[in-house]
Amino acid sequence: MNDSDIIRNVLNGDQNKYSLIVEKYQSNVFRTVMGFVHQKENAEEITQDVFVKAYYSLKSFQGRSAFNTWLYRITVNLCLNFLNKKKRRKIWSLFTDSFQLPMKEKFVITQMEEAEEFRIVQKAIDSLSEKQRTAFVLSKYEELSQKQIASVMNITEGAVEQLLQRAKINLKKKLNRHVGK
Amino acid sequence: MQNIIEKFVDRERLTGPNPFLLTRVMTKITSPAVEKTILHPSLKFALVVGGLVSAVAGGIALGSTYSTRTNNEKVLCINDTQIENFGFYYTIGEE
Repeated sequence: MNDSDIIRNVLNGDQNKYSLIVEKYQSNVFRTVMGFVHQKENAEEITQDVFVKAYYSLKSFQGRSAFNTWLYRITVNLCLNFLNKKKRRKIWSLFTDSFQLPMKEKFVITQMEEAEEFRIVQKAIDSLSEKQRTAFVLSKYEELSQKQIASVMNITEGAVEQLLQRAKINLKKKLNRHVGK
Repeated sequence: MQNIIEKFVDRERLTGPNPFLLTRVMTKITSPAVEKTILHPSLKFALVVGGLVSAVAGGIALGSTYSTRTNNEKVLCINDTQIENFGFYYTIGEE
């Protein structure tokens, strides 16, 4: 049973068929979300939201693009919304974190040394612009072709190539600044 | 440099979703939707503007109830207890 058959069944009222879609794409969606949020708990929440949102928007899926392209679009949008909300809450969390520091400290210190390298990479990825980051995540985490990325992002393949190149240069610059010391 | 990025990406790619994710999604979908009462953005904006207008109007109303009262009557207060003392020393000097 292919995606369009499943969707047709779901739209005809067979809700349970939607589980086939979730089963098929949950790893892809989760991986993509991880590329944006880097945290399992948040990634699970967002992945769940992606499938719920996709289910309720299924009627609006016109089949002009592949179902997974449409699903990736929802995923990227929800991730970017999450990150924007997080950015807005940053000041407040900085304030509350200062109270939590003594509790966290022990745990963080033991892990800090081994995770330092990854933390720097994560920071570098997070500092990329929304478009560069989306292209980078879809390319590295999902190993999508430039054509597929272009379709998800609604841009040309040339623009994807450019975004990936810029992302690479920016990451290199940022990592050189930290690791190269 | 490329190695560090690839190591990081590989580590995150290996993280799998919760095995109950499917169940959770299906439960959310099949359970009756709870209608949330979310304010329409334009209504939210109207409420904020209304709040501001009422705050400003309240401030103006409170401010206009204040009136400067001027008192034209003049009152002179004299403490005469010390005057008597001068008189006392004066009489002593005469003696």
